[in-house]
Amino acid sequence: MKVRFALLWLVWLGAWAGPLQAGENRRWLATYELEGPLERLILEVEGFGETVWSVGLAGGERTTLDLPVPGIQGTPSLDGWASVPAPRVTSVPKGASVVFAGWRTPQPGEPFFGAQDLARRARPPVPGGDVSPGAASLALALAALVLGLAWCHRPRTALVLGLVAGLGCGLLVLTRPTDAGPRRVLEGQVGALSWFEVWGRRGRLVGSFERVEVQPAGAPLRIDVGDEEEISAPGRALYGLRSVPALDRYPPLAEVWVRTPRGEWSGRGAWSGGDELLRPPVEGAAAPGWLRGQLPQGVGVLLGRFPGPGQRWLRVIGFLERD
Amino acid sequence: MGRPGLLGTWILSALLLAFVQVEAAPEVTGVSRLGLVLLPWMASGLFPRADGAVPFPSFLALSLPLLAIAAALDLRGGRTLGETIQLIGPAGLAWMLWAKARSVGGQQVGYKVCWGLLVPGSAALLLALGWAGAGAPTHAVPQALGWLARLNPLVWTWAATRSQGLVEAGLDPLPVLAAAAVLVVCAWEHRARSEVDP
Repeated sequence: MKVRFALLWLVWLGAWAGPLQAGENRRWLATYELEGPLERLILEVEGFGETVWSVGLAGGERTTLDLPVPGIQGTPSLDGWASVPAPRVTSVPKGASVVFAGWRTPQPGEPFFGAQDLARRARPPVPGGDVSPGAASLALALAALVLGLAWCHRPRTALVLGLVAGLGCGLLVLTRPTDAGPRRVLEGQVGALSWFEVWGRRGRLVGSFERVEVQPAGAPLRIDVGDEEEISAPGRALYGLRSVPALDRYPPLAEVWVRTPRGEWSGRGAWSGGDELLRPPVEGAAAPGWLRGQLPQGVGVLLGRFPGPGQRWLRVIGFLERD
Repeated sequence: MGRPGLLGTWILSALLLAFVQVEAAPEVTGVSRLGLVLLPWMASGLFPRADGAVPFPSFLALSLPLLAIAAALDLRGGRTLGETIQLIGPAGLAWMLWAKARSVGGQQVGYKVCWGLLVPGSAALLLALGWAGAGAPTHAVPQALGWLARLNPLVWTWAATRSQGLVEAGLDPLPVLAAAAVLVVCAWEHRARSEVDP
């Protein structure tokens, strides 16, 4: 039994540390037995961040929950998860009944158990546009410079001007619209019952994911668990992966690219989806490079962009075009 | 500092801001934009006063839009308000105190000597000690020289600009603020004495 477990552990370790492993999983499930009254629970893992659970329990109410935490210290050993320390707990009110019942096994975010490996999936580029000043604030700063130089021997006037311009510049940067939302890639194999969806967004991801990664790695995360799960790491690129049911019919797509099993790519323009035939090859832009990455060789592939303002993409592996 | 110097400082701080915006290297992404933009303003604001200098309020007024942009970018980039205040609070206070000392006694020899010793002098000493491999000196002389750099507002601000920079350098804002406060008091006393006994 021990030998079998050792082999299992080695395979898992290999999958964990293998070359395809681009990032570290930042969503681990810990099981807690809770008894009310409990208003809030904070689980802290040193060096990784914290989880704030704020659903609350009334007096006498009991529940057992799998709560996501942003990391684990150390790695599970041959003895299993016993060597991995539990997160530090702070409860509100203090002294509420909170019992750590162990780490959930298997962890859904680990590639060996769930094959939910983010490194094998296309990651949508996450724009860093959140932190650019914008033309308006720069123009205001330049105008303030010109006026300030003209009035620099009238200190009071210059100071009032500087304060107003400074306030304006700060507000213009702070209130700049953020990105349109998460970038999403739906990916699946023809015939599979379950597909995957990869979400990428800077700073904040909302939703339930099986695996979460952050770039640059090592940033502390905060996971807020309420009616929804919200993962935040200001300024960092966050990627989440989750399983979704396979599509039962192809959706309408604004742009389509097809690869034959022999590796020939062609752009096909828009497609109404379903059983409709694809258009003949058209001249146009090639599929984005990041969307074409990590594709298996020797099988047909369909790549597509969903219509609408959001950035949503489709990858179907094993796609064969009807004649 | 006159208008050309003011314009030069503005351009330098704008260039530093642009550099951090364009350069996405990991070692740059952890740097506070506010700290970087503040450095040129601080450096030129401490410079011994010359005839025809722009009054400090005008000097401050020109820096505010760029400082506000940098602070807002820091906040948007993930720095918390607390971290921003921890940087701008001591750095801004030290800057104001030095500016006060400069406006009171910026043309006095004492101010010029203190400035030379504490600002470019101590920074050069710190750099020289680093090059000589005396990062954690045990000998009394390099220790004392290294301690001089702890009074330099520019060194403190530069360390605070990098995340964990203050912890790595083991710097505290109190010596910087204390030195600046002493400088203000000395400048006042010197001026009062010269007014009584011309």
